[in-house]
Amino acid sequence: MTRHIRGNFIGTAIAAVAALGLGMAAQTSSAKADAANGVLRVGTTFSCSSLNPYTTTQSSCLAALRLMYPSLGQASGTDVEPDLAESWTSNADATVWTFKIRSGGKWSDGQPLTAKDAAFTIDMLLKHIEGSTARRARSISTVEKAEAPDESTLVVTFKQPTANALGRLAQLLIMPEHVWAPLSEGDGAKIASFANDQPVAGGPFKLARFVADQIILMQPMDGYFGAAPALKGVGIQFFTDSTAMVQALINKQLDIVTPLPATSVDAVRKAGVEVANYPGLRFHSWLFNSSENQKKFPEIRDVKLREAFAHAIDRKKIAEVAYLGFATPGDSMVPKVTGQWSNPNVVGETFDLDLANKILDDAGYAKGADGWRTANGHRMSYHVLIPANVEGAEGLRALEIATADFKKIGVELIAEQSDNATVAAAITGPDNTFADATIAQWGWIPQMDPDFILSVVLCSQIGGLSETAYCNKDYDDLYAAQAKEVDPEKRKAIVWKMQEILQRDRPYIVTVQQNNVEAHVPGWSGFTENPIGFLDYTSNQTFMSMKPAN
Amino acid sequence: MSTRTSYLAGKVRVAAFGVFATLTLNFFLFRVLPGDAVSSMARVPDGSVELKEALMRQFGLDKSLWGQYLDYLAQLAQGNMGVSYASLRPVTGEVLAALGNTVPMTLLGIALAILVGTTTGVVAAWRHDTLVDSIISNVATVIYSAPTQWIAIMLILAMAQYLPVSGASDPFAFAADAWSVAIDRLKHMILPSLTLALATFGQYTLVTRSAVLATLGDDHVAAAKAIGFPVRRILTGYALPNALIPIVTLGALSAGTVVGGSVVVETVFSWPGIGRAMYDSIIQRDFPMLQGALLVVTVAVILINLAADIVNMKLDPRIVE
Repeated sequence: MTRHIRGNFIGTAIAAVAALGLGMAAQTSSAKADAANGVLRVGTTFSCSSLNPYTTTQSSCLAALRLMYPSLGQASGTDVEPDLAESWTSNADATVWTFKIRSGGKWSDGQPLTAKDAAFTIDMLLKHIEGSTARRARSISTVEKAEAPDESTLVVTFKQPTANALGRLAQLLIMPEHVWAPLSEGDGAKIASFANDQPVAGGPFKLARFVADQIILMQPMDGYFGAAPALKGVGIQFFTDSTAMVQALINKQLDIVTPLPATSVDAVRKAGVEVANYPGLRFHSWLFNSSENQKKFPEIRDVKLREAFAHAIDRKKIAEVAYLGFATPGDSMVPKVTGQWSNPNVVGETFDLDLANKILDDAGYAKGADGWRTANGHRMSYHVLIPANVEGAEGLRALEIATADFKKIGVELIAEQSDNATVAAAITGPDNTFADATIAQWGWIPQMDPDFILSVVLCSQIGGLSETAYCNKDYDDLYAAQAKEVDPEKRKAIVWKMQEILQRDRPYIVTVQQNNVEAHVPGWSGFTENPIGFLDYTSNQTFMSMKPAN
Repeated sequence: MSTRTSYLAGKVRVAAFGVFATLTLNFFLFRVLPGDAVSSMARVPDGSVELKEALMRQFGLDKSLWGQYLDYLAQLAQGNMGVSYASLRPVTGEVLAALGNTVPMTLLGIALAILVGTTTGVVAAWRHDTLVDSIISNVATVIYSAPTQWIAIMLILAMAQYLPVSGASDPFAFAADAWSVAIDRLKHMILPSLTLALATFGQYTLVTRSAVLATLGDDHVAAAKAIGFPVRRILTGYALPNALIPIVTLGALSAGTVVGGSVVVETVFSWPGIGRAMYDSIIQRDFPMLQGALLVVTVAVILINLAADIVNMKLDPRIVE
C-alpha cells in the first residue's frame, strides 16, 4: 500500500519513476507527491497533450514548460522582471537590445546554460519561422538576428523599432542548444516531431513524470540559476470533467483548482476552501460578418443595426444570471485589466430596448403587424452560431437572455450550436469566403499587451485569425504604427484610437468580461491573483510565489 | 473444399472486406465533417494565415483528398497508422495505451453487469408475478433508464471520500512494487466499472427474465419439475441453457463497449481510454488518431464476431448447411 513519507521526495521519486519506466516490481519503496511533502497539486480541465514547446498550443502545457525552461524575463503585469537576463539595455531607437545573462546556470543534464543557448533559440525560431517553429516565432518576426559575443552577453537586433520588444523576447523559452541543434538541421521537421517527453530543463523545476492529458509532475532542479523555489514539487493533474475535480479538491486530493466552475463555488466554500474571484482577460462577444460576399443579409454590415443590437444586449443580466455574478459587463476588446492599454472612453452601450427600437425604426427596419421587423424584403431573423463546447452552458444562457430581449425589438435570434471546429468553419466558410454566416457568439483571451487582440481584426488576418472579415485600411495603418512605436505614451494614444474605431464599426460587441475563479486549500501562502490565471504561460511567478505553510 | 472450410473462408472474406470498407469510410467520412484541425490550432496569439498554411503542410492536408488517401493506405501497408495531430506521437502507441486502459475497466463493468443481470433475471423469471419479480424488474428498468452521466456523478458525490474518482491510477503516487500499483489501479477502476455495470445490468436482467420465462413452460422443464428436481438444478440445468441464445447475443453486442469504451464514463472519471480518445479526436479533428482508434476497435469487433461465428458453427453444425 502507498504510504506517506516526509522528506527525500526527490530521490525516492526518481527511483520510483525509473522503476515504473522499467516495469520493475522488485523495489518496495513508496512515496507520494502531496501537500505533506511540500508538493503543490493543481487540478485543471485544460488538458496538456505534448511538452514540445514548438507544437503545443495548450496553455497548461506552456505554463508547465515555463517552470522547466528559462526565459530572458518573466512577465509581471505589463512589465517584465529579470529571469535568465539579470539586466538589459537598448540603443536610442530600441532596435538593438543587449542582455546580461546570469552566470553559473546549468541544464538538468549538467551542461552549462549560457547566452549561446539564448542566441541559438532565437536563431532556430527565425530559421524555421514559416515551418516547424511558426507557432512560437511570430512574436519575434521583426527580429533580424541574435548573437552571443560571450557566454554572459546576448545581443538581439531588430529590423525596425518594435513595440513591447522586451515583452516579446521574454515570451520565448530558452532551449538547450546541445539538444535542439541537431533537430534544427535542414528543414527543421524534426523540431515538430520531437516528443520532448524528457525535457532537459534549465528552469526552477525539472520533470519527474508526464503522462499526456493526465499529469505533469515536476521537482526542483539542482543547479537552477535563481533562488530555489519554496515548493518541493509541482503536480498538474488534468481532468475531463469538473465534478470529479471539485470532489478531489474538497477531499484534499488537490491544493488548487483552476478554473473552478461557478456552480461549484458554494460547495467548495462550505468545505473550507478559499475561492479567488477576480478580473481576468477572457471576454465573450458577438461577432458580425463584415464581408461583402455575404449577400443574403446585407443589413448585418449596417453599423446602425449593430448599434441597436448593442443596446438590446443586457450585459448586466448576462453577467449576473448566465455567469452567476462571476463576470462583469464588457466594453472594449482590450480589457480594463490590461491597465493603460484599455481606452476608458470606450464603454459598453446602455441596455435600452426603447433606444434600440428607435435606432432600428430610424434606420428603416420597419416592424410589421406580427411584431417582427423586415430588412431588404425579409424578416429580421438570424442564426447565431455558438461553439457550445467552448462557450459552455453560460454562453447558451447568455444567448437565451439576448434572444428574449431581441424579440422585444422585433428581431428573431436562433441559436445554432455545434463544436468549435464546425462553428469556425461555418463562420469563415465556404472556403474562407465568409459568404454564409451573419452573427456568432464566441470569445477571446487577450494578452496583457494589446498587440495580439488588436491583430485579429486586421485585413491580413482574413484566412487566418479573422472571424469577421472586417477590413479597414485606416485601422491597419494604425496597427502598423503602434507595432513600431516604442514610446509607451504615443503607442497608448494609437491603441486607444484603434479601440474607438472598433467601437464605431462594431465587428465585435463585447458582452461580458469573465472573472478568473480559482480555489485553493488552506495551508499554502503566496497565492497571487493573475489576470491570465494561475496557469500563466507568460510567467512562472504564480508558482514561484507559493509556499507550504510548514 | 469442405462445406465447413468454404463457410469459414466466406466469413473471413466478409471480415476482410469489412475492415477495408471501414478504413476507407473512416477516412472520407471524417473529412466530410466541417472544420479542420488547424483552425483551432492556429487560434493562438502567434496565429496567422502563414501559420495555418504551415500546419496544413506539416499534416499533409494541403494535398488532394485522394493524395491523402493513398498516403494513408501506403502508411497502413507498412503498419504505420500515422502521427496524432494533437500529441504528435505515433497513433499506434497512443491507441494501444488507451485500449490498455479501457479494456480492463469495461471488462470488469460488463462482467459485473452480466453476473448481476442474469442472476436477477433468472430469479425474477422463477418468481414471476410476485413481489420479488416486481421489485427486480422495476429496479432494473429504473436504473437502466437513468442517464449514465447521472449515475456516475451520483457515485462520485457519494463515494469521493472513500474511492478515487478520476484517472486510471494515482498520478501523485510513486509506488514501485507491482502489488501497490495493482491495488491502486483496481481502486481507480471500481467507480467507473460500477457505473458501467449499473448502466447496463438492467438490460441483462430484463432479457434474461423474458428468455427464462419463455423456457419455463417447455415440456422438458415441466418434466424436470414433475420429477422433483431442486429449483437450482431446474434453472441452471434445464431452463437457462435453452434461454442462453439472446443472452449470449447481448453479450456479444457488449464486445463493442468493451473494446470501444464508454465515452461518458471515461469523460466523467477522466479515464484515459479509447472512448475518450475518440471523442477528443473528433473535437480536435485529429484525423490520424480517430482513424487509428476506429480501425483498431472495428478490427477487434470484427474478429470477435468472427470468433462468435466459429463458436456458433461448433455449437450448431446446421449453420454451415
